[in-house]
Amino acid sequence: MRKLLTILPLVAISLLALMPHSPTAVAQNVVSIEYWNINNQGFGGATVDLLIEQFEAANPGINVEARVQESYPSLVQNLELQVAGGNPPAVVQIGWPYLDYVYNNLPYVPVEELVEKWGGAEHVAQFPENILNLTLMGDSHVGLAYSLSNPVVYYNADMFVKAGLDPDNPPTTWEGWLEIAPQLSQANGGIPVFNFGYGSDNWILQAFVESNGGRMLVCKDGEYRSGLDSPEAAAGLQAWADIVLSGQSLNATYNEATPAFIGGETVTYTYSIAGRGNLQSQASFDLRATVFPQFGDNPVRVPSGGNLLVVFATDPQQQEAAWKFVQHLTSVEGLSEWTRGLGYVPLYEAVLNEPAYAEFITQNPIQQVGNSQLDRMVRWTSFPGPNGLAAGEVAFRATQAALGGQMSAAEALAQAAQEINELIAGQPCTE
Amino acid sequence: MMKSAASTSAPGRSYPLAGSRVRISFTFSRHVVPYLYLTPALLAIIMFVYLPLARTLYLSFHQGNLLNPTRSFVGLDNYTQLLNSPVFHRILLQSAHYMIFSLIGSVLIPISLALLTLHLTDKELDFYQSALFLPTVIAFNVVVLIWAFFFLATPNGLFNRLIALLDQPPQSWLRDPSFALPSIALIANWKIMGFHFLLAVAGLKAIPKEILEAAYVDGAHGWTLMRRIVLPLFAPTGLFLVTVTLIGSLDAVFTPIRVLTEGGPNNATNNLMYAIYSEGFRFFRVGQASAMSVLLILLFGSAIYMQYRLLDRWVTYER
Amino acid sequence: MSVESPRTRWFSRVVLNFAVLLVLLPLIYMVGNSLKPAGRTFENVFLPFTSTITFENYRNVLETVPMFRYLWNSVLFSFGVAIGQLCLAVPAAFAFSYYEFPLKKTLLAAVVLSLMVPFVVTYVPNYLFLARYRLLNTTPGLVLPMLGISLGFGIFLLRQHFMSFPKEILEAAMIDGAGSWQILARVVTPANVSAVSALFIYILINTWNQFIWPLLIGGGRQEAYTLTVGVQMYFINPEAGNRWGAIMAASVLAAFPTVIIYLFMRKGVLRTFTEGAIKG
Repeated sequence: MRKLLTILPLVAISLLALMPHSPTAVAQNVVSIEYWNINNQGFGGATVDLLIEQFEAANPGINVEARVQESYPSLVQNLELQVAGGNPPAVVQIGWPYLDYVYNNLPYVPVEELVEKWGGAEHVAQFPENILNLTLMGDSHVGLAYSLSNPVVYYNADMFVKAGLDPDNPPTTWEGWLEIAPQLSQANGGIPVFNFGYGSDNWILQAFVESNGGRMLVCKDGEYRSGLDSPEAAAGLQAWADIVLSGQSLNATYNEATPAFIGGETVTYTYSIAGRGNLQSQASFDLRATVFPQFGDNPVRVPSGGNLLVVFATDPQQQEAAWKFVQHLTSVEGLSEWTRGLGYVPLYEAVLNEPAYAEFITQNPIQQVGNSQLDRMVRWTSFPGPNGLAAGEVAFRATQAALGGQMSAAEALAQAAQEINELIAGQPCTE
Repeated sequence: MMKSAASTSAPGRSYPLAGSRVRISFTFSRHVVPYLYLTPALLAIIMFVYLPLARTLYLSFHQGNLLNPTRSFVGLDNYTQLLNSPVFHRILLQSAHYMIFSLIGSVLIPISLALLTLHLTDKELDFYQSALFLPTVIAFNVVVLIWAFFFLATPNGLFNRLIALLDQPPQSWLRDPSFALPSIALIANWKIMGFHFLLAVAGLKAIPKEILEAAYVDGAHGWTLMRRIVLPLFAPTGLFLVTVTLIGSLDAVFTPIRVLTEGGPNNATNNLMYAIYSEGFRFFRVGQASAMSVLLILLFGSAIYMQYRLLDRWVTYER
Repeated sequence: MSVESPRTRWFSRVVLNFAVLLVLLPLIYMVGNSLKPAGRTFENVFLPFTSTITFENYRNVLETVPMFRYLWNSVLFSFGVAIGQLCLAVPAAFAFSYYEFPLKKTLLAAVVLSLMVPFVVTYVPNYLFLARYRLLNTTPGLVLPMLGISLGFGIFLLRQHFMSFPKEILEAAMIDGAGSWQILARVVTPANVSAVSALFIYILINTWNQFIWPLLIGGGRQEAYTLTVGVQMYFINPEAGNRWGAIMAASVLAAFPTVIIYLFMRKGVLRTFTEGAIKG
């Protein structure tokens, strides 16, 4: 027994020695940078690896380590802590709802600074102004827009045919969809027609609210206020809630919603165009997509999902390498690869003309649907101020309340707007 | 060195007056030695439990994020905001709901099952204990997945198929505000039940057989035996189980909430502990999270104190 | 103890068997679904097994998920914490059992009360601490705070056992001229080996099954994932339809190690800590 006791500390020490340590520079003149993303295997992981490979081949002095995070929230959480520890990652994908938070709280390196120090002005000039300004906060660009997605309505064309409907001409308005819904459902064994894939965020809410003429945030007297207490916003959410409460939609977490659609348990699936790659590879039916439906004559406004690339590296060598990497990712070839692999929308025209992409797009009508919504895209709202994230959660809870039938959309949103206004009080805006 | 110390300490050695503990003393210092043995452990506990606690208290008077937790000093604002917030009241209410479910699933049921084992052989008891304890040894987030499978909202999810047999329409279990909390509570109680069953059985075993047999001979059978002999003697264990359950109830549901509902829908599955986690790690509002933590500890502290007083009174009453 | 009629015994057994069935049912489904061919999970959702048993889900998981790396991280994490806590708890319990010293009661209370502090309360400050010293996503960072967090339980448990150790043997050792360390190392610990090893197993299993903490500390680096975190990442991975077979296979693989340890060490573990807990 004594032997065991004396061995124990030795074992402990040797275990300590065996433990993986933080990565240090691989070789003498190699700069090692971290690229944080949320692309696991089922969601573009392979494309990320390919892009890194290409970059490292063209830049032998740089080593890129991809770090996959669970989700945007946990990414920002880890980011914040690593910044606090004095060791920020070089390049990070920031989900759009976190743009304001990053702008106000984290030491990002603005694009202006990167261009000034390391060049790349011509590269940035490729971006059309509205896309470039998606990341404009105050008078600096927090990063470069990278993954842009919008919601489309995927549908099972086989089921359309079964219902005697023309799969080439799906409805373009909510009224239209609701009209054919009973027919669709009945012909396919009574399954729900609708299905909405959303995470714990306000993406789909924004699509409904803003396509119906409402706004998530408005600027009044120089201060931000919630726009959710307007009748248009309420009507938008209520439309969604009615569909769900009438049993015409599956109401499942989006982990369940995706397999459900692929398994043929719903006729349609309103989901990000970025899921195209995944869906296309798994669906065993005639998968098609169409644009997010209109409310009557109201113009459709859909929030841009996805993320932007932000540089946090402070060390000059790392910063230069990071900026190079960002340029590679947003280059014509890089974007072509990225948008083909997943389904994100190409950021500028040159990508459309890139040979591989041009060929791909002619053969992929689903992607065309996503691209066609480019001019209907608006920035995914991120609530301002230190309580912005909590405010976002309040809006999300109102959505859940309405979808769960606990209260009407108008009630839920009115309550939420009040709480949100308290949380974002005093945040200045210019309009 | 040791030998000489022993011989010179012969006069210094003393024997206890009561209890079965042996006092060991050395000449050069009576008290350094135990402290030496204690220090590493105490250090770990202070560093990783008590210091964080103090820091939490300090942070609760500020507002800030993880990067800059003390960005602004706000005094008692966080507390007043919380205590006046209807959402916070709702969260407290939900926490109470979870506790009630826990009392049923992690106290009542295990104790009832344990009482049933009074009539069984040790071998049978061993089997039941081992079988019921199995869920406890499996990682919670792993075992939650099979429950996610049962609770699937699609019509061919297992529970939906089950209720379809009774002609009921499919439910969205985890997104329906009336079903979500009970579903989560079910998962957590299922996992803990075996452990508490174990504790209850141990408590029963602690009752001396002679008392039971004497009472039986005296004519106390079945329910009378239970009521007048077994239950009163079991009471301390029962109380212990109640306290452990109440304190652990919010903890126990944490993983299923985190994996399946994130507190939703619309806070229907939220409780004080998950709310603290959300404020700190999802909304990055460290001040609010800290204030909630302090309130949680005050609540727990009073519960423990009450248990301590009750047990004291009970025990003295028994004597 | 059988003071009641055979009929009551029969009734007890029926109820308990039913309880066991209900409790084990989810686990049976877990294993069964992992063996169902992918795509046939919902064919007959009530039956956990189909006519064909296949290991394709397991192959799938093992090919796409670095389970062995995660396994190794779990091993490092749980053994690190278990060994560490033992090294801290044994001497501390020894001190509490056999010594009198000022503040003893207070310190003991402080140790036991530390168990009542909810873990969420300690996570943010501990996290900030690890961030400041660059210990995030490293195994030492993962292990260190865990050494303090449930240490009180081990100290308490061992103290219970040490205190019921016959004092004559200790006295004999002292007469023989043994110093305190030798008494601890050569008398007390060997005699309580069953309690110490049972505590070791208990800490091992509990740490192994941790999910929130490793996700928080190690979630940023895939190579640092423990088994539990790995399964979680796999679950939220939006791979499409009918992947429940694979998820169940991953779950079974992740549950396997602790179940095996439990089945082999069952008696000791169960007995030791129930005795300790109740006596307290």
